[in-house]
Amino acid sequence: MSSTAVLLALCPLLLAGGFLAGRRTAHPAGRSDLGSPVERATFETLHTASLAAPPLRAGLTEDSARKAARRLRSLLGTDALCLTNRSTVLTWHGTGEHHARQVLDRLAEVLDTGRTAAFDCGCHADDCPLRWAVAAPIVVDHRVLGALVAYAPRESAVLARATDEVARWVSVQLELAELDRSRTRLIEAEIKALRAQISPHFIFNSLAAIASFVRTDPTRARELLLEFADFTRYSFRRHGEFTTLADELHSIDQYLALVRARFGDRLSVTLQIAPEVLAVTLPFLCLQPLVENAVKHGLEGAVTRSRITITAQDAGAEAEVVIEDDGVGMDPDRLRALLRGEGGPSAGVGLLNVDERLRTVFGDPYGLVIETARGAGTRITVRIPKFRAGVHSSPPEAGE
Amino acid sequence: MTWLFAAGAASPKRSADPFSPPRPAVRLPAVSAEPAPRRETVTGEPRRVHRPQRPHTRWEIDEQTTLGAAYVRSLMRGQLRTGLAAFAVLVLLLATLPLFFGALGSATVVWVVLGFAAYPVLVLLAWWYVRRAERNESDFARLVEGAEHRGGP
Amino acid sequence: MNPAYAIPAVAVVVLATVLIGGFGLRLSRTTSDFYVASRSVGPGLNAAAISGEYLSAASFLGVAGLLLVHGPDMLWYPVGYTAGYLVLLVFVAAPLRRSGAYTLPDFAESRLESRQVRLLVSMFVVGAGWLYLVPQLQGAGLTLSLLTGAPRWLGGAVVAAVVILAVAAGGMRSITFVQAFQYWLKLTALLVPAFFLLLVWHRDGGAAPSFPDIPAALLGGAGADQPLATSRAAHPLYATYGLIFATVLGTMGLPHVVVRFYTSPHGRAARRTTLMVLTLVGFFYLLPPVYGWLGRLYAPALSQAHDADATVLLLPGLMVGGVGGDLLGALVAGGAFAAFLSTASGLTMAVAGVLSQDVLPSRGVRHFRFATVLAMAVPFGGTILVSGVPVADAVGMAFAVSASAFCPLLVLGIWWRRLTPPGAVAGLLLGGGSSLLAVGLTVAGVVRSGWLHTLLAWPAVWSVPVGFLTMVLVSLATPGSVPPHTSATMTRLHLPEALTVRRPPPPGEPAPGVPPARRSRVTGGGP
Repeated sequence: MSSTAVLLALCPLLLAGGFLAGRRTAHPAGRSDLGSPVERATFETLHTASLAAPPLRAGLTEDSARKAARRLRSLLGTDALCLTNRSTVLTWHGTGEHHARQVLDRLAEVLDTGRTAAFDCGCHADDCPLRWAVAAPIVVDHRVLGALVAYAPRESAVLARATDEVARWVSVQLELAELDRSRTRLIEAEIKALRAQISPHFIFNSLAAIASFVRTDPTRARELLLEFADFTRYSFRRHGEFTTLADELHSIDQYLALVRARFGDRLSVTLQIAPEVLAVTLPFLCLQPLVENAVKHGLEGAVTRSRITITAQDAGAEAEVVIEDDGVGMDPDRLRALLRGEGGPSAGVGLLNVDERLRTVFGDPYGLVIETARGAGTRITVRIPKFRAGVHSSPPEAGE
Repeated sequence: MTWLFAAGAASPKRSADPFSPPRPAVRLPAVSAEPAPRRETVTGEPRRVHRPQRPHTRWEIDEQTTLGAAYVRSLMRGQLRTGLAAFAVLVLLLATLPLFFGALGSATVVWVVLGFAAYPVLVLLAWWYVRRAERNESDFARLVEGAEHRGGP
Repeated sequence: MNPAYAIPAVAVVVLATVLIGGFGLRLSRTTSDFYVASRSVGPGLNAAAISGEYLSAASFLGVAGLLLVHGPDMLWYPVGYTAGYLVLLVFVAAPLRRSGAYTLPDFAESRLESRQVRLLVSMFVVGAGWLYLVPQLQGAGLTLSLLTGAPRWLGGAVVAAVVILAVAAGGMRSITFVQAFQYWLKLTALLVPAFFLLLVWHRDGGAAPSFPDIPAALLGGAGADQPLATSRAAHPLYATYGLIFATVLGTMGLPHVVVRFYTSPHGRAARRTTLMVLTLVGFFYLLPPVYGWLGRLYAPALSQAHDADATVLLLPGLMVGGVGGDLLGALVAGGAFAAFLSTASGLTMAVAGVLSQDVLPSRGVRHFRFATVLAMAVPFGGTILVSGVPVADAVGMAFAVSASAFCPLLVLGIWWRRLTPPGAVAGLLLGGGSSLLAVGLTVAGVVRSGWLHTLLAWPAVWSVPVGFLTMVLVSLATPGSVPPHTSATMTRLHLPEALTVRRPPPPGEPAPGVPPARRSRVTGGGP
């Protein structure tokens, strides 16, 4: 009895202690050896630089420049500091803001040549301490994006060199920002490519199939045309990188209806979907390529009927989607190469793309698991966590 | 057209443990009877990509600009007011009833009120709230979208 | 109570649970059409499932037992359990669904954008879950020892083993149909015998029982040694408010209730689901008082014994007798076991999920199984150590912790833009932590009498305001830490889904001109 008491009483204390310890490790508080003045200065500089970095990773904008300028000025220890892009002054930090008006005229050379330059301010106002300035270009990807201008009361070689270095550092940060953006663009481009990849022959085949019904069975042709319209609208929709399992399955159903129109009873499909997982959010168009794959394998080999099973089941904090076919299967070694990105441009781009996107969004444990062998059919398992911070879809339509 | 949605029977039955590594799957009953080769499990290689903390907020920002934070605030205020109204009735009942029972000292009244009468009152209060909250939402939708909104339930 | 009937009834319930869990029996999937196969769960079905998981041993056995011992004041328990859903409805239901969170830690992370808050919330979820599991196992022990004379711990061990087996074998996932079935099973198990009992009562002349003014506890009967009973006798009004606070505000934070909202397709359905839950739960709670009331009349001795919680189980045998009484008793026993199993498995799933995801170091099969065992082993140990607390009181403590920790987090998180992670942490530690401490001290019997004891036994009255106040004050003191995406998150929480999908298409994209014949399929079938 009393041991429980102690245990239960300790619980909140342990919680509090653990929390504080966590915070401590996150921010180590001082060291016993205080280091030499040089070391301390290095630490301080690095720290200031690290504070300036995050805003810059958003690119060179007025907002990011304003946030970074404060840190950069304390890094350089100057009276005033100015960040510009090619056409305007983004921010001015420090005294003597009236200089901001003419600074761009002085920068023409720096922006053109990409070389650091120094100039006299030409300002003789008594209340303005700024007499001399050094301007260093900010260069990203061989293009001069703007300039960093540091002002001082007198000429200083040290400041010139420091400004040059800081501008270089700013350039690197902006380059990284550019890299981030291009990575995002790459993913977007891949999705677009995937959408484009679905379309040409599939669209042609579907339309041909629909056309064949126009005379014999106009009602059915009309229905198929609507399925087709729905399917393409979903595949080409512009907003949102994520979708719900319900929407994705709905689109797969339409896709299969179109395939069925062409191949008739050569294909039989079994669906088992647990209603609990319909709200799960997943990357847009990441199951459809897998189903397309299964259909292709099913129809390639089997002269008679081929069978596809799609199951989606609830697994606690995850949903598990399995797509299985009894078609020709794949050579495991070739598949491995393909998932490494060495498969060549023709085959299985869909699989690789889906695998990559799942890993990017949910992390490495959530890649595709494919069980296959030549002539043994294929079984693809996708696990999707029910919640991931930042992953939201446009929700299913109300009333459905 | 025979697109079979043959449920259950044809599907591989397996214990559905999401946490175990995938086993060689049960082969689907194939049309041909020849023995099939054993499947191998293939996965992609780890990419070690570091997922950004909140990867994509574009959609949310989009939402912010199209509808406007001010609109959302007004909706929140409306919903909160409705919620607080229902909650206030509940609090009033919960706060006064024990005092009332204490003063009355009659067990029968307690039995009747708490054993039977309380539940319909709670359900009615909840029903009123649901209706009001849905109406708030459809009013809001009309405000934002104009006449084209399809309306409530 | 005749074991010859009751044991098979319990065995059937246990076996069914294991089979459903282990083999993934799907009651739902015999469909021939995609639109049926993929139709989302309607509010009625989901509500029955939530109710099935929610109505635990405390509701099934505990309420009647408390009524028998302490009189009609204990009716506040079922009223509070039901009213909790009203508070959940008005402040939490729709926004919680719209947040896309599956668990409370998910909600904390998505709203406050902080891993630390997530971790802390996880710990409280585990704590509250464990507290809630103890009375489930206790109730099971009581039921089984009444049926067979087996020692008390055995029943708890059976339930623990069954749940661990079912969960670890990969089953007993949140299968909506199964949990919905559990609700109707529990309702039937109380409704049918109650009907016969009332017939007997009517035949006997329909006299009303008398409840003594002084609760039995004071007379040195049952529960005199029970810590809560004495405090209730000493300060009945405070105790009443204490339990109202805990039950009304604690429901929204119960881990196994929260995860079920994910199943609703959208916020509006979540609201309607909650309304249905309120109705179903309220209807169920009409029954336990009948047993308590009749128990006072036919089995007053039970209030003097240590087994007041057994009233529901024993009453059919005492009143009806013969084979009929045995059969009704068996039905009740089966229902009681269904109550333990459904709540215990829902809680174990939730606790094990949080343990494996946030607390234990790495993930994987073994870890989830280990987490399941851990999620069950700790409360089972608690059951053996602590046996003096009545089932419903023990559940009340779990509610108190849930109310103090999660109610401020959810309500402020959903309705207040200025909540910050440091505020949330401070509120959780002070509000939730202090209530956890108070409950621990009470169970351990450190303070046995006086006002201090009463305050510790019913912490929610002060710990919930402490939690709210701390969260607000610390958040106001740390305005710099407001999460960067707060505005976007708030929009997502409150905006009706219908608006977010029906935005006009960007120029160049075809307008959604679906012919009317087709559209009916999409729009039809509102809940």
